[in-house]
Amino acid sequence: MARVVILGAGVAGHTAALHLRRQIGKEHDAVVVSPNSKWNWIPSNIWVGVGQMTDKQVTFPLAPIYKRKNIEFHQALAVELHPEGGAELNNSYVKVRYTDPAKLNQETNLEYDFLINATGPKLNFGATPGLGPDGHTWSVCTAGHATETAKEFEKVLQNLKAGQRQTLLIGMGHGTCTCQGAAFEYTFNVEHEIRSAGVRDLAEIIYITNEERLGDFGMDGMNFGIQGNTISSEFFTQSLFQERGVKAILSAAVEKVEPGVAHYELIDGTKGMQNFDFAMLLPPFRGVDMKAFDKAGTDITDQVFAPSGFMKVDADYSAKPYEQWSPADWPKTYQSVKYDNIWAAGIAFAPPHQMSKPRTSPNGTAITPAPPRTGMPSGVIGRAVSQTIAERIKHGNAGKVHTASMAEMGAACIASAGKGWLDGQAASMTVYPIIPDKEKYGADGRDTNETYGEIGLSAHWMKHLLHYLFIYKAKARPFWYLIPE
Amino acid sequence: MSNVVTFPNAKLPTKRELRARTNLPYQLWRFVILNFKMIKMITKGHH
Repeated sequence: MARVVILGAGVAGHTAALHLRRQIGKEHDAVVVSPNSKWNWIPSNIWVGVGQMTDKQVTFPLAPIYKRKNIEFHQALAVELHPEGGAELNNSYVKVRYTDPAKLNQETNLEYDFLINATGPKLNFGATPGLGPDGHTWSVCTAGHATETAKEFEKVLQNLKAGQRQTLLIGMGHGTCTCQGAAFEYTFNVEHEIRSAGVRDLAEIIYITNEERLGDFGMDGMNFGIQGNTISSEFFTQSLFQERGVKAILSAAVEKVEPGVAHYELIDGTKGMQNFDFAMLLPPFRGVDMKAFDKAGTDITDQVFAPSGFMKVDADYSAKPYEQWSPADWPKTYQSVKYDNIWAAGIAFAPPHQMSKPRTSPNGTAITPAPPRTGMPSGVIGRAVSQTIAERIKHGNAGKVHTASMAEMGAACIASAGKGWLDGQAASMTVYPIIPDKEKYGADGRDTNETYGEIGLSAHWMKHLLHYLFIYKAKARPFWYLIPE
Repeated sequence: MSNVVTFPNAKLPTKRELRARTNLPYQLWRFVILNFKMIKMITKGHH
């Protein structure tokens, strides 16, 4: 009998758990540990954040699903990893601290034969003083955050309707943020709501970003092949900004937020400040605060995790200049560098480097988007890792190793620009491969036959369809496994 | 000096392009195309 523990129940962890349960016999245990009691379809949080959906529409309780699928569930936070066992247990184990109200703050040790670290990101609001719901800005990173943000946005709408001018600042709350796509979506949904309310002329909407140029999206930008022409994502994105009257502050690292004012540094080292009435600024991500110890109890966190807190896997982490970055640097199996029964899936793995060109201001401030690895890549990686473990359980070390390199993977992204069955808009973008490969595809780095962008109502329908489809899948309804990641 | 920028040189969509973005028959057609593009991309991403 084998026991597989999965840390995290987001896109990667939940996908891995469901697929694993299907692939291994009932004599084996699948165990999920997540500090959250609910699953959240995060891409729809932007609609919660403008009051177009409720948190109940984007979340559901995990426990009933896991009970039905015979998956052991612990609502708890993983705090210590003991891959070699230790003083308390001989076998590999992970120490968890319950967030379940019935056992709040109690700790227990969960033994494992195989472990998937799919803990996702820690929302590092603390990296920028004054950032976040406990500071002076709002967030859509969780359904709860988005609900609070919607209430504040409603106040802005009321002020606008009362004839008061309002400045809305949306974007990145730090120089190393990722998830530009989410901020982009929220910006245009806010703009859509304000325009629909008939008060657009009173609102100034400013997108603040660490991107060097619009359309970078943390992916070094991309070129779309559209009707025989090649159009840059910068050109594509600028057009939407100008059409909708959204302004931007580019190459900025927000360094402090005070009530109604964001202080930032630009890539040339100059400082600036932007007043606002409402701000939704995303935090940078880092790995969750989990420590690792060897058999003797010595702290080996730095051998298992990168300084960012993300887990080191089969990537090439050697420092090299941007010009020497290669698709081969990126991991394929997501197996830990130190232990062959541990994998990291989704955001939890440490990327070898960014995709966008690294840039630093004369003051030494890094102003570069971190590489995105949410959504589709997270799901695909979660599934591949679960398949590898199922093979190991069935065939030992002779089992097939499944791979899911982002350098050989495409991604589809639907960026909402306003919700409405008849007047909604979204930008539909596909990119292949996710990691640029300039040797194979030339200066573009991507296959322009497969990399594509289009704006329209149909993309909004697609975003809505995906909302229902992925929630259906995550609830493990009949034939859920036929829906791809 | 303000660091807030606009994009006056950006190509704006034509009236025809704007109409097409919300034209129901055309968008239904684009929805079908979009589905095919997504399926193709998903297929390439799954090994």
